[in-house]
Formats: sequence, C-alpha cells, structure tokens
Amino acid sequence: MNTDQPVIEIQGLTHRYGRAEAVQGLNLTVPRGRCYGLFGRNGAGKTTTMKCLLNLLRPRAGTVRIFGLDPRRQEVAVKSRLAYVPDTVAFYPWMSVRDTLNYFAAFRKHWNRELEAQLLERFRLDPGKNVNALSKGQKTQLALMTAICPEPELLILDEPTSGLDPIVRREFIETVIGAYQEGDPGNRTVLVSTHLITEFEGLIDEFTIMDAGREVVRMNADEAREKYQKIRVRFVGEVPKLELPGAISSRTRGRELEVIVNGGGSVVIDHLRSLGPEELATESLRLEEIFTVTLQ
Amino acid sequence: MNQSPTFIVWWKEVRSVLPLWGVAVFAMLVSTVAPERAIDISPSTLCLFAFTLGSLVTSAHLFTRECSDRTLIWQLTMPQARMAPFWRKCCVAAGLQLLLTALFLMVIPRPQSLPANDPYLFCAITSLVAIASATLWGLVLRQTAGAVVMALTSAAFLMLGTYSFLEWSANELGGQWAQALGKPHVQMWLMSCLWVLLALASGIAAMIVWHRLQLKGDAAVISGIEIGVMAQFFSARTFARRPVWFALITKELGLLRHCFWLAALVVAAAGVFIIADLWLEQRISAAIRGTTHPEPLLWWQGVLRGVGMGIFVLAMVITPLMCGALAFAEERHLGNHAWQLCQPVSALRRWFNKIGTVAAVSVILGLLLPATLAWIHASLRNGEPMDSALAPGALPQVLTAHFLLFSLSAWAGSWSQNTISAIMKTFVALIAYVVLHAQMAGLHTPRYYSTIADHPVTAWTVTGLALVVVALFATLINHRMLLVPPRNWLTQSAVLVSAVVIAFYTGMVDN
Repeated sequence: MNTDQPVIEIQGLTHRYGRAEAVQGLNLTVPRGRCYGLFGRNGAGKTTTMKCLLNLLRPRAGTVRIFGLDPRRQEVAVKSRLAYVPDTVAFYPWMSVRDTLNYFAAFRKHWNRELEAQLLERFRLDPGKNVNALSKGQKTQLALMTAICPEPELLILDEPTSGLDPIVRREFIETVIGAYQEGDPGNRTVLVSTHLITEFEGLIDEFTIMDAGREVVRMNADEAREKYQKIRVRFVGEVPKLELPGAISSRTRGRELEVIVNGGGSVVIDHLRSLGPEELATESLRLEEIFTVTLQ
Repeated sequence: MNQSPTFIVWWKEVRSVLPLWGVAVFAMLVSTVAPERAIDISPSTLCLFAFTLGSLVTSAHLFTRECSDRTLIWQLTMPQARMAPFWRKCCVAAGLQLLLTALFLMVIPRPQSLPANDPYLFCAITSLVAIASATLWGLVLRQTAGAVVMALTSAAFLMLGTYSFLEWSANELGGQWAQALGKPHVQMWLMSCLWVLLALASGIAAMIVWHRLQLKGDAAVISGIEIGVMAQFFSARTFARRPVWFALITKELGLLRHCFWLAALVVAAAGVFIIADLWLEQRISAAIRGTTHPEPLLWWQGVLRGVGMGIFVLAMVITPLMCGALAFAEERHLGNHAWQLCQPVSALRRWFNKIGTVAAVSVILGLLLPATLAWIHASLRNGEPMDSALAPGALPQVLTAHFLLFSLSAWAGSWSQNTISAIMKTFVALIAYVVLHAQMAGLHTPRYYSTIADHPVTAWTVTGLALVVVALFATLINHRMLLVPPRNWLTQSAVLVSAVVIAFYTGMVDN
C-alpha cells in the first residue's frame, strides 16, 4: 500500500445537468487518513462531486482517481475499499434491520459483527424491527452502520447527520466517526459533505468550500483557524472611521468594533492598538464562521 | 448470520417480486376453479390474461422496484460489477417465468383456444417479450405500469407492421413468393422470428441502458423526491394565486399525467388499427370479387381485430385502474400526502375534488375515448361494431365495470404507498370479488334476477354498484389518515365482502 498516494484525486472535474453547470473544473486531493470536509450551500455541487467519485455520474471533463484507480474501469476494486452513505436513505421495505444488515454484509469480504452489535445497542435499534417502522433518523443510523461495519478504507458521507437528534448526532460524530478513524490510525479516510460544520469542527483536518460548482477556498483546518481571525476592539468613545487593509468584514456595535481578517492580522492589530482602545481581544474563527464569511 | 451471502443476495431479488408473482399464480389457479357459467368470461381467457400480465409485470417490476423504493443507489455503490445486479435480476426473471410457464401449461383449460393454436409457442414468445421488452421499458420508464403498457404496445405495433408487410408482399410479389407468404404457417414462422428479434433487440438495449445508467441514473434515484418537491412548489404557487378548487383540480390532473400518456398511445394505436382494418377490408372485397383466395386475408383480419379489440379493452381496463390508484397512492409515494393534509382545506372537500376530477378523467379517457374511437371505426365500416362489448346496448354493464375498477383501485390506492402496489391489490380484490360472486351465483342461479335477456340489472351490476359505494366511502376514511393501519383495511375488506353478499341476496327477484 502506497501511503503517500492520495486516497482521492480529482482534476478539472466538470459535470452538467442539461445546460446547468453543476461542477466546473474542480480540483481536489484528499490524503490518506484525513477527515476531509466538503462545504457549500445547497446546489454548490457537493453531491454531484461525490456521485462522480462513485461512478454514479459520468464527468463531462476531468479525471477522478480513488486509491490511484479509475472508478469507472476498476469499479469493483474501488468500491470494495469504500462505503457510501447517501443524503436520502431508503431501504428494501420488506426487510427487518437484521435482514438489511445481513444483505449489506453479503457484499463484503469483511464485516465486523462485534462493532455491529455495539452500534445496534448504542443506537437502540431493534434488529427484528421492519425498516418501514424506523424513523428518518433511525434509517440514517442504519445506513451509517452499513457503511461503518465493513470497516472500509474510505468513508464517503453525504449529509450524514441530517435527521439525527442532537445527542445521537454528537455521539455519531465524536464516537462513531472518531472511533472508525482511530481503528486504524493514518489509514482510514473520511470525505464528508455537511451543512452542520460546527458539529464536525473537531474532526475536520482539511476542507474545501464550494460555490456554484467551483472551489472557493481549500485549506487545512488548523491553518484556516490561524489565518482567519476575529478581532474585537472596545473604544472609550465612539468607534472611529477606519480603513483597515486585509479586513474581510467589520461590524460596529455601540463602542465595540468587530473585524474579521484573512491573514495579515498582526498589521491590523498593530493599527488598532495605535488608536488606544480600552480593550482588544483576538480569537480564531470557527469553521462555520469561515464558511459564512467566505460565501458572503 | 445463518444464511449464505449468495442466498441472501439472490433471495432479495426473488422476494422483491414475490407478491406480484404470487398474484399471477393465484389468478391463474383461480381462473381454473371459477364456474364458467357464472362469469361470462372463458376460464382460458382469464388464465391467459393472468399469465401474460403476470409475466410482464414480474419482469418489469424486478427492475423498477429499485427505483420506486429508491434503493438503486445501494445496488450501484456495492462492491460488485455494474452488470452483476442486471444479470442477477435477469436470471430471477427467467426462473420465475419458467415456473409461471410450467404452471400455465398445466392449468390452461383449453389449449386450442390460444392464439397461434400452440401453447408452447405462445409461452415462449410471451416469456421472451416479458423478460426483454418489459425489462427494457422498465429501465427506461422506471415505472412498472408504463413498462407493461409499452411492452404490449411495442408488441402490437410489431404485429401490425409485420402484417402490413406480409400483406403487401403477398399481393405485390409474384410467383412462389406470393404463394408461400400467403400461407398462414409461413406468416406465423416469420412473425415468430420477428418476435424473437424484438426480444433480442430489447435485451441488448436493456443491457446498454443498465450499463450506462449513471448518465441518467442520478435523476432516477432522486426523481421521486424531485417530483415531490416540484409538485409541492407547483401546488404552493397555485394555492397562492388561484381559487382552492382550481388548485386542487390542477394538482389532480398533474398526478394523472401517466393516464394522459396512455390515452395518447391508445389514440395512436387505434389510428393505425383503423387504417389497417379498412385497408384490409378493401383487399378482402377485392379478393372475393376476383379470383384470389380470401382465406389468408380473413385469417389476418381475425388477428388484426384481436389486436384492435385488445387496444380498446386495454384502454377501458387500464385507465380506470391507473386513475384510481394514481390519485391516491401516487400522492403518498411522492411524499405529498402529509403536506396535503396540513392545507387549510377540509378533508371532505379535498376528497370530493379528487374523486370528481379523477372520475371525470377516468370516464373521458377510459370510456368516452375508446367509445369514440370504436364509433369512428364502426362509422367507417357502415355502422357495424367490431364486437358486441363495444355496442351501445352494453352500456350499463360497461359503466358498472368501469366504476367498479375505478373505485376498487382508488380504495386500494388510499392505503398503499405506491401505485403498482395499489394496482396489485386491486387485482387481488377483483379476483376475490369474481370468485365470491361466482360461488354465490353457483348456489343461487342468476335466474332470480331477471329472465329478460340483456336486462341492465343483473347480479353483477347490483353487487358491483354496492361495491362502488362502499369502496368510495372507505376511500374517504383512509384519505384522512397519514398512515392506514392494517386493522383498518382488514375491516374494510370484511365490509366490502359483506356488502357483496348482502347486495346479492337482497337484490334477488323471485320470478
């Protein structure tokens, strides 16, 4: 196994639905063992990108490689090493939870029965219950189980936590995905597309923000937190009118000024200090704030 | 895990169509026990109908169910070759078809009444068309009902096309060719070859469609949801700008879009049939006047009339079935039912709008349209109707049958989660009704009803109308619920049976 080789490598990916460009010239590289976030508004092209990766859609242009393989030509080899959870989950209506798990296990060479039992208990899913009787959240839980139990090298999750209650969502993100990656550190990769960026804050190593099918920002999460800073300044009197080079946005609330900078924070801080503020504090932006600021 | 992975994977395919296949088997078996004198239809016709429809529906549904259940995504993302599920489904279709064929050959009461006078040839052709053509249309249309209609239509068009070619060649070519082509067995041989070619071409096309599914596959996976969202958006716009009744009617017409497609197909097929039939009649007249033998032409006229009758019967049977089922089950399938229940419109008003609109569409497309086409055909043939069932005297029976089909499918649709499931349940209900009625008629002969020949009030019309009223009332009850629990539809089934029994006995007239 070549550990230096990226798990996912996309170059110049383009896909259209009729005349509408869903993805335009996207480049993406996901290294092994990382949790990679794909963020964007509705219709940004995240799901289309994932479906091109899985050979569910054929790209108009560009190349896609997973584990260095072409998912179109080496479909079985690629899919036996990954698992996918779609944004809309549906199961065969005549099957029970147990039947469904057995059905998905039938396609896999490896299936962790111990993990399956643990997850059934954690999610409080009755194995004898018909899938039609499951709630939307429980169906999502079952879909996650079918993806995690074969312990694949790559987990592709498209809005995996939609429909889950906050407790299960937190447990799923921190415990289930965390435990999945820790099961074989450095080798298990996660590509996740989500709107609930805050929930994934601690897990995301790298991310790409997409808008209208194009990449807007691609960054390492730690670097992003260092680069994007929020500076809060409180003045004794009124907030003076300022020209701050490098500031992405600024907002005034009474005597307080809030400035968001993308790099060059020290220059802005020095400039603000020179004005003799009553208080000056800096903090790193959370990923969700970076997402909001970037797309505004 | 007790079962082997291979068994689980194959059993899943079998299980997905087992209820439909079971209905076909049940219908074939029942057709042999129904007393012929009590049900005006030959048992072999019922058996033939069940076999043909069962074959087409089973093959198409194996593929379309993945779309209707929105589970196609799992088949495409599992670690298996893209063609693996396709071949698995084809093998299951072939296996089930073999069993169905074996049963058909065992139970068919009168093999001599089958088309082509050869049950083996008929079974082989039906099986080929079912597995290849219904599969192809199922993959293209992603809907079982549409796939069955298109498979039948493509077969009918092939038959008409072949007939026209043979007729032309037999008349235009001279010498031995004309003589050879004029003989029925040569025509049958050529026709069979073309059916096999149709099946082969359909099979190859189906493989290509499945293999390149990703090009359209994404739309299929989410089409149900997209249509649901679009329907909601459309309804929301309509609610905001138009009167409520207009919004409700527009929405109902949108739900019945498949019926309009079917009507367009019927018009096209009937047009081709009428032209071909008139042309053939001219040829027969010319042959009778001249020295040519008219027998081959008369044989072909019989085949053509059979196809033509099939087109009219298809429109008259499928349209009310589809209208009733689509009106109620499609809404639940699209996920719009809960949204509809939350609108500030009373359930009764919503139900009246729905039933009124759908019944009107059903009557227009399922009765008036075929009647108009039959009238055009009869007018062009100097007022001579093709069959007594299409004559004006049969109107009370036809109307009762139409509303019975419509109301039973609406009732089945009101507690089903999708259209094909509703149609399947309607078939079960219809068969149960026919058997129950036949058994009662066996105990108390229909002479109690009327001794007047062609009297409009028969045992069938009395029990049929009772069923219509009770089924529509049950539909209203179910329409108010988001999910209909099994005890409700079981109770309603018992009430429907009671209604038939009570109507049968109270409606008797002692002569």
